[in-house]
Amino acid sequence: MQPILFWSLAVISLLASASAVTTGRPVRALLLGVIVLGVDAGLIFGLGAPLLASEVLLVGAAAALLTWTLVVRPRRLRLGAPGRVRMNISRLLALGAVAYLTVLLVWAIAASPDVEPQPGDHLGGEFGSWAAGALLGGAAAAAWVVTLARRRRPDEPGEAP
Amino acid sequence: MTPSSHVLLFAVLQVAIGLAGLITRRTGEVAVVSGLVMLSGVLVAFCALARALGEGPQAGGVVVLLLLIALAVVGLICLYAFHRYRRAVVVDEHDRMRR
Repeated sequence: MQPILFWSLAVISLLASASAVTTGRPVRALLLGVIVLGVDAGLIFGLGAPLLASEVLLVGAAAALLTWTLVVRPRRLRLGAPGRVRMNISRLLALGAVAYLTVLLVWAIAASPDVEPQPGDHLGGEFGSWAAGALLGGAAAAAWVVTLARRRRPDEPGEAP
Repeated sequence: MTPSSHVLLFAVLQVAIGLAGLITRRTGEVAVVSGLVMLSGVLVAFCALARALGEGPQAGGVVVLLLLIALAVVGLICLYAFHRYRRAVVVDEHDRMRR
């Protein structure tokens, strides 16, 4: 792993860690903790432990799912929280961070040396980089479409404008 | 290639941040997240040391990962149980194992 890539991820992880332990909102602390786990999984992957990184990612995904199901969703339903999406500075920063990580991921996969193809392998590093970019772009587009669809249904419980 | 000293420096910083949060904060959710941050830093340090020593990082890292999973699962379950009875979870108030 190149030092510039390592320190880019490390700074994001350290900022998220500091924000998680200093924020006054518990739900935000949990979500920032999930971000820390995800970024650290990227670091562990770069250090040559892909199996361990995937396991950490699984733990982060499970924690996010549990947090949303047990804490965030019931609280939103109980409080009747509005579903409006406001473009404030933190949301813009988060979008910028996601775009930066996406570019870094695609670049890292594209710059990685190609391994010797084994019998039965038909996928190369170039295809992997394009596939990763397409998957992340598709996920972002799907999240955006779902957000717009939820915003246009004001009669849904807890989604009133 | 990133030197191992850089990775260890990052791991020490992350463990220090988690330890500070674990000591200073009283909110239950933040305490659990601080523990996760600490264990994640330890996991990165394991990988860096294993790489520096020329060994596979999987064996030692899996032990720390199991601790991380246990902390996440038990912590979230405890928080959920506390949330059912009280709105805010302040760990100093929960000093008994019964309602």
